[in-house]
Amino acid sequence: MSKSNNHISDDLLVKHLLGEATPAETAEVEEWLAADEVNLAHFNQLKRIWDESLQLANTSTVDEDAAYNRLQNRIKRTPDNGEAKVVALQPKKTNWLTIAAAIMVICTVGYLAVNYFNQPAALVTVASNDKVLTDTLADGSVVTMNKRSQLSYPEKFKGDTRAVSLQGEAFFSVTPDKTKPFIIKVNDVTIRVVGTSFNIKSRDGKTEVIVATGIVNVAKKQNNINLNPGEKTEIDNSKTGFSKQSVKGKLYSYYVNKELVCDQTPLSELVPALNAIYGANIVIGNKAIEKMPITTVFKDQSLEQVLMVIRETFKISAERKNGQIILK
Amino acid sequence: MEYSDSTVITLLKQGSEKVFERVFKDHFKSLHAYAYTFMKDDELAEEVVQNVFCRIWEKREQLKTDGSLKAYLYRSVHNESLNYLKHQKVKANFEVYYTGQMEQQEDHSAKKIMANELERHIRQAMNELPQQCRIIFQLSRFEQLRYQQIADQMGLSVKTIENQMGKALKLMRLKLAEFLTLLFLIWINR
Repeated sequence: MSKSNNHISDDLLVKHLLGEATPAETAEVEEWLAADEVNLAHFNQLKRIWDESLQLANTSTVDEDAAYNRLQNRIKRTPDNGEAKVVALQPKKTNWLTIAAAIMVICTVGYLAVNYFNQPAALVTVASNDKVLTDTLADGSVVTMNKRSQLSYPEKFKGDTRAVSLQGEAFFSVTPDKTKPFIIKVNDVTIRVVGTSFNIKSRDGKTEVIVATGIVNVAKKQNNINLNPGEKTEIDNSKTGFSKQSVKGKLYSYYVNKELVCDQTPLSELVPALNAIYGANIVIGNKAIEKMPITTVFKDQSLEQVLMVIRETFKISAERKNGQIILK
Repeated sequence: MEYSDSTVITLLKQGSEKVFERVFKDHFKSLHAYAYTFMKDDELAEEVVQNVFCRIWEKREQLKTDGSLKAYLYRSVHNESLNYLKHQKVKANFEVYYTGQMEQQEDHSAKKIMANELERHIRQAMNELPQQCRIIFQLSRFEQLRYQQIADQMGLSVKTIENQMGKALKLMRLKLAEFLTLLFLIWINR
């Protein structure tokens, strides 16, 4: 039949397959199936699916009464109409105390944090007492403190300066940093440097600054002075004026490196240095020899050895009397 | 006593436990069978059906009075089953490997494997049918209902049932065509 091929709907085939088709429809389908093997194959596939799908059915026998009892148990377990009550996890009432406490905590932490980061670095104070002490500061500067001296400096240098304060005597070797001048307060004298080495001695009402390398600015009140290497200034605590003198040798730095460097140094200068270093009591018994110069380096030598060199150099004698050593 | 769907729904809304029990017992077997085709497990199928009835009881005031109760129950079970399977999907992805291994160990004959494969393919094709289509197919196939009965129960015309049944088998055939051809080739080569 001309109308048959391909144009019969699956709806009709299924209807036929399920025995729902009318006699007329059945005749139509059978005709179509007979017309072509492809048509038959098509129908057979539908039939196969229909037949096989029955296996998917649940073959186990379930008991609806028992199932209903299980359902009832389940429904009864949920309280009141089976409608679960909605319970807010947190009371909705705003707890102002909690909020206030939270704000307090935040403010406190913030305040402490601001303080912590803004506070000047902790001040360190080092006292040398009865021995020579060497300390390295945060910027790498090295300070050698003589006996009975005290230095205060911040753990870290903040701001645009490196400020320390000193009592007694110390030799500074300052790490160069032009952007951060190194400032030492000794009594009311201010020593300002950028990167040098120098000695500061503040004893018996006098402050003495001797420069080894670089330039050092010493200021007191309105006065100030620049010292070059080999120059020193001595400031009386009770006076405001001061001037610079040149020094020969490096008697001042003995405590730093155990070297007593004499360069045309008059005996009158060497003797107080020796007295300070060895705790001796040397006096010059003859005015004529006071100005006599000596050029030598004493390195880590005993007082006896130093005295011997002095005797030999000046052709003088050293006489011990009542704990005094009198040079003649 | 027989009630019309709208009467049953009205009574359910009023909280009649008797009607609820009646509805449950009337439909449990077929709904369970329907859920089973998705779940492939008796207990899970019962859980799905119970979930549906629990929700109906909890929300009974919100039941809609219009439409077929049976169609509504089937739709609910269908959706519940799909939801369940969706939640299980991640878990299933891990289980597939083992399940596959087990099945292979159990059945050695090629014939049995092919039969299992066919069943699996049909199940998959069936579960991929559109919801309405799927439910009508189920009623026809597993409850052996006539078109007229399905139409009455679903509140649809016989013509619609006819169309949906045609559509169901057409879709399944399209999905299975390749496999069926292969199966046929194996069968004639034996």
